[in-house]
Amino acid sequence: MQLNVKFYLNIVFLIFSHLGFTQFVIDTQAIDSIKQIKEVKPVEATFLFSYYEQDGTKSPVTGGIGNEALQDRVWNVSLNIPINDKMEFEFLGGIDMYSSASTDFINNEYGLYTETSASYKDERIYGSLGVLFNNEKSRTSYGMGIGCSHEYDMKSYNLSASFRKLLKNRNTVLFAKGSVYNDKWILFYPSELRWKYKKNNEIDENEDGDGGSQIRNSFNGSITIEQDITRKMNASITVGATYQNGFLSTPFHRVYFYDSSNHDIESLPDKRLKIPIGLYVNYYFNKYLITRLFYRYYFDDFGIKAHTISIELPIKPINSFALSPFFRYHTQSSSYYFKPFGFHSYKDDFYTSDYDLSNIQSSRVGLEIRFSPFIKSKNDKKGIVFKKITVRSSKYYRFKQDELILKAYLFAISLNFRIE
Amino acid sequence: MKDQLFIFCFIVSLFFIGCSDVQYDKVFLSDEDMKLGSKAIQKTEISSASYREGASGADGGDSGGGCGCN
Repeated sequence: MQLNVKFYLNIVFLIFSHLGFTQFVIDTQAIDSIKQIKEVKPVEATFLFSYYEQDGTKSPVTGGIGNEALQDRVWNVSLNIPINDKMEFEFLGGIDMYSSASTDFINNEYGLYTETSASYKDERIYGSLGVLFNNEKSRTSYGMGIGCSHEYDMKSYNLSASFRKLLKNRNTVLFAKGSVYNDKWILFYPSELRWKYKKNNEIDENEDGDGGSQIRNSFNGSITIEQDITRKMNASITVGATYQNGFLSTPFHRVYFYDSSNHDIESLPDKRLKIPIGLYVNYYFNKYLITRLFYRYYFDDFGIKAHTISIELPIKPINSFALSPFFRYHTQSSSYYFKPFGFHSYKDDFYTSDYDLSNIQSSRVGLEIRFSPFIKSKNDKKGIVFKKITVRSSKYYRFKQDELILKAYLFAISLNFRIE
Repeated sequence: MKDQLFIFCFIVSLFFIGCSDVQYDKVFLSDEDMKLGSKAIQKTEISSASYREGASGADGGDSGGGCGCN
């Protein structure tokens, strides 16, 4: 019986081989592509390190004047673990380690003392776990995730959900995403104002964070349409909305008044609605050059309207190497509640001297280098395979009425591995 | 506001020009640099910009989950 089966298989093979070599090749390719679809994708691991430093002269901790020096080191790892062709897990974990000159003045109004506050150096630890369900038949995927972060004055929890559908024409993708953040502030007031906000008027000058805690909630939602416009051009548009409620002020940002010798902490409304609309357009000129454009219009009910534009030009002298210069420009109008040091009235309901909420322009210029040495290799290697290394570095300048008020430097390196 | 709405509708309508039944081959579109949206390596860049500027969102960043108050 077994011999008969082998015989018939040989006959079938001979017949098919006589149909022509070309046809045979095409069939093999088709089988390969089916195999690729059915094959479980390998585990992907990404390690990211970034270093950020800034220096400025408008710290809100000292009322809109003073040192804004800050260094931040970020380590994080992300893992994408496909279980089968229908389900995959995503894990992200990391730590930010930062030191800040401005928050060092929480306990030190004018920086005259040598005392350092609890926030001079700190860490933020965070992690998230997500699961993604793919349905090839309906060309849809559903995702959900949970995450948390912890730093000295804030504990945060978040939930997220997403939905993606590739439309029948296979040129359009609809993507919807939502997330909810619940942040709990441990309130650290400036030392000289602590008596004012201290619960039960129990004054203990040596104790930090004795102002109790407050909650801030953020609800983010966005809808994205991705569209292949031509064989060489694609674009996406994203309309987002964020609603925040709860404690939106920062408890150690000081505000100084022109009509009072006393000062206070910043006061902002307890609700905020933000609407960003973003547009990405990519164009493939040829195998050596691609253009990536981004534009965003933003407005919120604090009175800020902003335009952001960026351009990135990946240049590829060889397939495995890309050099991408980029430039980003941002301009925004001032919030209703912003005034500089000593310009607020203590009679106002809301006030801040945080220049992040003021009329500013900023620009970022930088370069990204990517090297993918094994881009051409087949899946013959097992174990941990190095995929690519990406380095990105940029300088950031923030201006207010042509005055340079903050500059920053950012360096990031990312290593990608495939684990089989 | 009307102008902004008009520009928005115009941009959205451009997307539907590409909604033909023709299925483009993806040789060029599947290039790594043709991927729409921000890249993973831009994580710190996007979060630092959202802290130092009043605007955020539509570029891969969310609001919430850290005070960013330095």
